[in-house]
Amino acid sequence: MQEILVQLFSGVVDMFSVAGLKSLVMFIIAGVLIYLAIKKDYEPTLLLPIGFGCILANLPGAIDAVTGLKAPAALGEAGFLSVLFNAGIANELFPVLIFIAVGAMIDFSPLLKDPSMIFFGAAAQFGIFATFLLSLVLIPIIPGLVAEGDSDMVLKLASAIGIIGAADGPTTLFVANHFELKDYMGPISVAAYSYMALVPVIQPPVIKALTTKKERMIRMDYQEERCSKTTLILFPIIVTIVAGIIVPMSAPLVGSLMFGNLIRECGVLERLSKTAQNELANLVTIVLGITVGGTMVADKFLHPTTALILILGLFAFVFDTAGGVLFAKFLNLFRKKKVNPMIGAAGISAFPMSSRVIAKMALKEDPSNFILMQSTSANVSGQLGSIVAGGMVITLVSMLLGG
Amino acid sequence: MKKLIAVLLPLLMSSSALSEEVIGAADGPTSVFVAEQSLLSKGLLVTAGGLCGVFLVLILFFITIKLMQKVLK
Repeated sequence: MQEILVQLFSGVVDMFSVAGLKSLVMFIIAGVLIYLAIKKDYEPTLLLPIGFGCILANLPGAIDAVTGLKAPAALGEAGFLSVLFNAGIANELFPVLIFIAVGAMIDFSPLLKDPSMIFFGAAAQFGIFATFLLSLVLIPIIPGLVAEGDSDMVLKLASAIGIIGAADGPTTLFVANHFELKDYMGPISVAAYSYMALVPVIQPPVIKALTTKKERMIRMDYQEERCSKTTLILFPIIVTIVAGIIVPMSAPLVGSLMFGNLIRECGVLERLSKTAQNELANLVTIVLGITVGGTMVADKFLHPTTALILILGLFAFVFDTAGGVLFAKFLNLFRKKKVNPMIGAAGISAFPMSSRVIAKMALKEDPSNFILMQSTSANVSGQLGSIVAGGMVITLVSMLLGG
Repeated sequence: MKKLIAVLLPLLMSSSALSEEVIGAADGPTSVFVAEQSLLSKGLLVTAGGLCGVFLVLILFFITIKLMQKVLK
């Protein structure tokens, strides 16, 4: 009788074990994510599904009908989270679909009108590489993170941590998945999406530390050049070809982003453009979020690596911001017409959050200084820069593996 | 800006070619060059190659936009 009861209520029994305690900690973490999403409005479209996926992944196990092993019902061989993971993340489908949706939402015309802003999209990727280097130094000296002497794993993990600085969820997932870091996908995506939501908190202090009030008050003329329909149509096609030739590994992401943008700009696919911007974006976001949350299993998540990923992810955003601002100050050494160095910080990929933060900061310093168009140009360049950086990291690190 | 690009572009092209040479040396099962590098050297290689690559691609985008603007005018 007792055995039957124990089997019948195995979930309740499990909750009073060490594994149950770990599950409780994960429920609290999930609760924090859901709280941030609902109460603080921090990337709710992603943090809420991730939080809920985390709850599902840490429920007590049931005997899997297929494998006979004990696993949370949603995560077993035929569990829907496993099915979604294999269908959309293991084969990199979801990030690509998200990029089609993002491409359909982005208006590149501010960049096409003022293309000199494109360089900030490159400079603000500095954080990716600075964090990559820092991770390479820290991972081997912190005991228990990776097996001793496993330099390939150190390189892969450092790449995935560094790419948090892309400030771009799909690229982060794409790189982590490329290096088969399923166990780290939870903390990496939580760091990426949380810090993207925290851009208004992270960027201003870094910018203020690196600039003077006088620099922050620099006005910028907006020389609006005519941007023809043909330019808007040719841009995504040429960008795909150029990026695909120079960095072939970035082709899936650049290609899908630009395909979405071409649907938007061609003018004859209004219905598809709206579908990509709304239905496709919403559907993929729902399944992507809950699937990523499903990777946050207590045994893997409650590990020192998670703390390291969260700390270094923050560094990546700080270094990105600093890289962009310092590059703008460097450019000012050569330019007759100075740029407001805050624009450099908008070169990260967190769109449109970063451009709005920078424009607001400029208005706070001088209520008649409008730099929203310039910061938007830098911000959309950051989208391009982060994808190219992701492709470069995959290409270079893949070539160095096995050494 | 044009002066800066004129200085940076050849520099980036040469560094990109250098990375290709280095990477070319690492091809195949006998990747002696790669095996000899320390973790930090590999990291510096990825950092230098990565940043140069990003700047190179975005400079090409810049040139593309400028050319399109001129041609379509």
